[in-house]
Amino acid sequence: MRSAIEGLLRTCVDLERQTEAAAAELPARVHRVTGQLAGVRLPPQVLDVAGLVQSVDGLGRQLEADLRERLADARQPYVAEIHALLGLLAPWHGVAALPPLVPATPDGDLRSHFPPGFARGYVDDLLATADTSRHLEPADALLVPVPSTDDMTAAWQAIREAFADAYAADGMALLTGSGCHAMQRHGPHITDKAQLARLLCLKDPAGDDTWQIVPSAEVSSGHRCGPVSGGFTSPRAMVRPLEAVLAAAGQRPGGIQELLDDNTASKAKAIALHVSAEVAGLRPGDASGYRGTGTTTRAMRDDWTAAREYGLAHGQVTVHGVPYDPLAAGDDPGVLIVFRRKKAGAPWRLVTYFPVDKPRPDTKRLEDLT
Amino acid sequence: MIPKTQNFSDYFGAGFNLADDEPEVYIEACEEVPEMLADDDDGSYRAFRDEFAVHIRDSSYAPWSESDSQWITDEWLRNVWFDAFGPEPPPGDPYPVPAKDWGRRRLTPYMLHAVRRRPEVSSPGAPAWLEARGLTFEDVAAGVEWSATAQSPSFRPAPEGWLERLHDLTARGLRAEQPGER
Repeated sequence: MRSAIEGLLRTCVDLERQTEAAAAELPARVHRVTGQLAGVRLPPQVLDVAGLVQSVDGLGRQLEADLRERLADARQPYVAEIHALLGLLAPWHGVAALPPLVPATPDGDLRSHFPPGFARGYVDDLLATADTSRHLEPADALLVPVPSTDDMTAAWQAIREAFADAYAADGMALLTGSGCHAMQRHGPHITDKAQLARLLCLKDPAGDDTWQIVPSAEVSSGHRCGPVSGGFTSPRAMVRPLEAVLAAAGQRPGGIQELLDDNTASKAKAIALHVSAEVAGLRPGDASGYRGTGTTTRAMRDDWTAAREYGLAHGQVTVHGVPYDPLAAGDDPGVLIVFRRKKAGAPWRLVTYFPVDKPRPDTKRLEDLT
Repeated sequence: MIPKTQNFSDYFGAGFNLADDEPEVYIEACEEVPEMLADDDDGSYRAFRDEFAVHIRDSSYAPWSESDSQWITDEWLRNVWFDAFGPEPPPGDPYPVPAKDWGRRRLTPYMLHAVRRRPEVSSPGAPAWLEARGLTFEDVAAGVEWSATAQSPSFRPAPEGWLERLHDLTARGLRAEQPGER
């Protein structure tokens, strides 16, 4: 159902775009013709040039109006169909029944056809991503290079230099600890293409996890990734959140171990914290990456993940990604940072951290730790 | 049950909330449940499990955003419960998932992230996880095949009388009303 709605919306957008382009081109064409005609010097009794210019111009205007009116007619069945599909989805989501289609003016945009609430939210999400979404075939993902040893040496060097002196030793120790993959998946050296290959094809940007295209079968991957991928755009942006955590930990005699011990159940083995963009000193543009198209709700994210899994099992990529900077998109953006320990009392180790659009439920904010 | 306790948040927030963001931490949280239950001398993990069941029963775990409904949130919690605690539905669940659906007709985050066609690229803990739930790699692969034509691979439609039930739970103070319920 999701792919039916997405497919119909894409068709609608294409239709709209082509009509718009044709309609936009018309006045220019007509203008060229009338311009040429106006330059023609003939005696009025041979040809009424002024009259002809006027009627050509009128014809152009009529054509343009026709095209726009036909667009409204042409998209009507699509809109009705999408509305019907959304109507089937509404009870699924346990929300109240969908109101009837809103009569939209011919020149109203596509979204204005749908009633506010669930339907418009769904359409908005897909429309917002239809224009900018990206796709990648497994064969393209295969060609995305993995950083060489030299690349990684340079990347690590840049990170070390980006740390303020006071935090360099502790920061590097956390980042290079066993089981930490913050740099490997979210480092500034990772290209956008590699982030897209990670999101759509589950290709490990570090090249550590198994990834292969089995001929005429599946894309076999040992890598894991949710419906979003991405990271920091500069070494300084990468180290800032860690410096914020180290600064908070520095207030205590027991440092980071004590800070984490004191803020979760004595037996919990993992803790995730939200470091707000403000506290971390991050701004829009300090993060980049992708998210799956149409992934703003719980159900849509699980749908998308299942669609990706199905595609890869058949050697195809059936989902799209859209460029995404969580620091620019969210209303309470920041960084999600995760620590784990083997058992109660064992030392906490850094697992990873990456930019997010808002705090995740059941996580604490760094500034609220006690 | 509102509000949720800090103990619940500490354990739920130790990975069960992270399937989208960091699937490996979610997978670890699911795989270590038997050990956590076995080594629970202070009873805090059982308390977490019991409260988890209560939130499903009372529809009291609030959706993460206004665009998520309570029904979808509850269905997602049932999936997380299955991933964590296995095929026995949470005590008091008014809408238990039919046992035969798991895998072939219902995909959970663990199935989508930890179980792959080939065991060698699946999570090392996947064989034990599947066995404890009476499932096989083939069952999950069949579910992924079915998902391409399914209306929704991980959620059921909200049942008849659902909104009335929510209104009642809200009136009894067991949960907070969410947008779109009236």
